Amino acid sequence: MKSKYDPVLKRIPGRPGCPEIVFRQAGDGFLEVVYGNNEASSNKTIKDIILRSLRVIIINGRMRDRNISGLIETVPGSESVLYEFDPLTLSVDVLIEEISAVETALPDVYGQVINARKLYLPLTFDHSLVRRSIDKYVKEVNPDAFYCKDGSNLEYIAAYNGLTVEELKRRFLGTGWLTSMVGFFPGLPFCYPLDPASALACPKYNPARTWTPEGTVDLADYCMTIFGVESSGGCQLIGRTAPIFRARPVHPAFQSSPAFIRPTDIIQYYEVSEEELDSIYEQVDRGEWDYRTEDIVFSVDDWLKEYVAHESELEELQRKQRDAQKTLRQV
Amino acid sequence: MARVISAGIQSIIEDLYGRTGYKDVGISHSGFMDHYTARLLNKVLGNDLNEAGIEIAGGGFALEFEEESVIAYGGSTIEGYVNDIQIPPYEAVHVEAGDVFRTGKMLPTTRGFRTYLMMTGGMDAQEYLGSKATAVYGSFGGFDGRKLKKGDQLAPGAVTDKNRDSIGCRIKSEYIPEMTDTWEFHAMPGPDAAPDFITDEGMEQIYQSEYKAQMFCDRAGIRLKGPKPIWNPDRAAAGGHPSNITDHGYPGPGGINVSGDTLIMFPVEAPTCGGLICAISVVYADVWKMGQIFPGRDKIRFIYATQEDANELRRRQNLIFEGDGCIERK
Repeated sequence: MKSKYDPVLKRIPGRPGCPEIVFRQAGDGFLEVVYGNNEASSNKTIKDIILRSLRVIIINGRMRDRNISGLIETVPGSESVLYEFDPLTLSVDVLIEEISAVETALPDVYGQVINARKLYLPLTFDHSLVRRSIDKYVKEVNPDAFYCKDGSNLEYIAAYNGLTVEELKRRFLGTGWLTSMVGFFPGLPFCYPLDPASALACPKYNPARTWTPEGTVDLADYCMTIFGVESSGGCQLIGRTAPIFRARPVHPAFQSSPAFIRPTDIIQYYEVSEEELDSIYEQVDRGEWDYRTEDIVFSVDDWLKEYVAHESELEELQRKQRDAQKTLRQV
Repeated sequence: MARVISAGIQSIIEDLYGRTGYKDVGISHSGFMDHYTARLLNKVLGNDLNEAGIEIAGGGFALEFEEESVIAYGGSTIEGYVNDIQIPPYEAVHVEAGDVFRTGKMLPTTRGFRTYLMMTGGMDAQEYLGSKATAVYGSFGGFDGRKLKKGDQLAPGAVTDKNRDSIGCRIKSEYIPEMTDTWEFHAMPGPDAAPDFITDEGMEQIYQSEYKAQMFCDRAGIRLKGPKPIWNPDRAAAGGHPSNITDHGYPGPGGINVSGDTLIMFPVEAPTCGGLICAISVVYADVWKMGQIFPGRDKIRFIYATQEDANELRRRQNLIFEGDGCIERK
């Protein structure tokens, strides 16, 4: 018999190309639909993660297109969608039926195409503001932080992946990063590498950092995020990019939403000097700098073909990561 | 216009619904912490329920009116005064140009934590993304995206005939929320409850324990002190802390987040998503009570609720604001 503390309202069994789908009550005005069983990220490949994220993007888009009365908003997660609704207008049972219809119509994501944007963003590795943040952490929070060296985390991240710093940079710049969700702090995107050769791993800070400057790019276990506003944080720091959040817009990129990056966007970095990046900040706040974006059609099958072609590089990277663990100190 | 003479610890302009449609870029609704009190005050003034007003955390707030207005205050048990004469809460009171409204001070005997001052016709404020609500954690909306400070010039709405009719009206006593130091919240299990994350025994424990609000409480989170959750042993063995989960959307307001072994209540400005579980979720009809929790002092209990219970509570609460049944003339 089901326990009265079990919040699961429905399950759709897993099938080839789609994990089990679990519907969970989350209060009287929220329903969470989870793909898979909340497996630890170490038990999932980057392919699983991207495929689930693509499913989230497609289902979220289709549910929004239905304009269901009483559905207030939807929040995509990395492998879940949270639906917020008015239960007096839209009963949870009807909402579950609506979602189930959309899920059933999408047996798997193979063959799907998604309208997306490619965003070209500048990146300065180890920008001096990032160095200041790391120095502050070592001085005020954790003097024994062996993952921080000379105001940088790059050497540690490289060692954790069995790479040189130059090779780490090449792999970081060499992939598109798919935005699976945006949030926690305003405008902060969670992005995963589309190229398996860039599935870079590293543990988080312990304990967390108290200050991270705006525009900081960081990494923890495959996932890259960017700080829209300055805040605390816990991932290893890579560098700094252009502003991605502006609540009082002077720049057209922030006119319709204060957050420049939204779920589905694919980020491609290019390296710039610190002087260039600082000048970009000044230009943005004069409303001038050109955020280069490109509308693209993302084909799941084309991506899979590329993925398979690079899968041996992922295996090689994972072997390097395992070897590196044997000698590295644990966080 | 009206001028802030004293701002207290955090006085901010808010409205009822806040902003919707931006959670997918990390922006939570914001709005009144105590949605029930604020609705009553708008109601008694004849305002739209979503009109903006001032949310005063703590007390120590004073405002000088430079034009006439009709005002109503309520929420915590702190008193309200006009020109040092005490005025009754939940009642539409006429003020003239030059009058000063001020709240009393927070005392150990005070019950509740937030006081609302609403004005006829609401207030003009910076509308951003469809709402005048101040987002403290994004620094936008309301008054320049920040809490009020001494000297700020506010713009209450104009007084209409309908508002003038409301002078002397008050909320019937049975509808006035009772302030206490022990708050009961109806809450539904989930999204991350038994058996996957916490055992049945652990869920029983959450519903039977008394928690205490820690000093660190704000519009984004209310940390609770209480027993450690009882985790599903399989999860605990999987590596990492069992409260960790793949990043997902947080139900807010309402979710009860578990960070390590600490429960955190999610009010109106909680993060929109993150990598921790939410074991139970407070139903909408009780979310307003989060705004009245006195940091470091008040006790919190959770009462098991089903979707049907929650719908009934919400329906009954909404009914109060249909028609004028909750208002009486003195």
